[in-house]
Amino acid sequence: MSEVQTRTGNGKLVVPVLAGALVSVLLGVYGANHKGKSIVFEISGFENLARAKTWLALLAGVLALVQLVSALIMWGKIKGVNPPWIGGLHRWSGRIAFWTAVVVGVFCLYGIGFQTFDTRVWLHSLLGCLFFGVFVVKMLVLTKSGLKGWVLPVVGGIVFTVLVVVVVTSAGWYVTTQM
Amino acid sequence: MKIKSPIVTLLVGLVIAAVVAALSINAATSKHYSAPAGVVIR
Repeated sequence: MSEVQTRTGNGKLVVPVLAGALVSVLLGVYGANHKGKSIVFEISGFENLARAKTWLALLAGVLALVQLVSALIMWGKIKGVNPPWIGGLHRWSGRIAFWTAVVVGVFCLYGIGFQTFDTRVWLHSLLGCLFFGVFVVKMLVLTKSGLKGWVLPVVGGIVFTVLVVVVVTSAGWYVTTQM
Repeated sequence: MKIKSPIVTLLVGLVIAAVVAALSINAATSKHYSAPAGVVIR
C-alpha cells in the first residue's frame, strides 16, 4: 500500500474520533454543571431509581458479554462455531445494550450529574461519559471502508471494556453492597 | 438516500435519550413541594 493510501486510511479515523470525543466532552460538561435532584420519570416495576438503573445496567452488561462472545466467533477466535445468525446477534445485542445504556445514562446525568465524591463514582462518571463517545466512534468506523484490520477489534474492545467498568462501578457495586 | 444502519442506531439512541430526558424533566418539574404536617411555610 502506498504512503498516500496509508495516510488516507488512517485519516478516515479522524472524524469518528473527533465526533466521539465531542460527545464525551459535552456529556461531561453537562454532567459537571448540572446538579440532579434524583427525580426522573418512574419506570413501572422498580422500587426506586437506583434499582431501575441497576437492573438496566446489568442488562447492558450481559449484552456486552454477548457482544464479546459473538465478536470472537465472527473473527474466528472460537473455532468450530460460526452460525449464519452470529452477525445479526452481534448487531442487535449491541444496539439493545446501547439503547439500554442511553436510558441509564439519562437517568444518571439528569437525575444525579457528574459525581466525584469518591474514586468509584468519579471513575463511573468519567467512563460513563466516555462510553457514549467511544460507541459513537465504533458506529462511525463501521461506515468506513478501507480501514486497517486492527481498527474495528480495537475500537470494539475499548467499547466493551469501558462499558464493563461502568457497569461494575455502578450496578456491580449496588448489587454487592446495597441489596 | 439509504442511511447506514450504524447511523440509524445512533439516531434511535438520540431519540430515546430525548424522550427519556423529556419525561424526566417533566417528572422533576411537576413535583410540588409539600411541607410535612405541623410545619408552617412562611
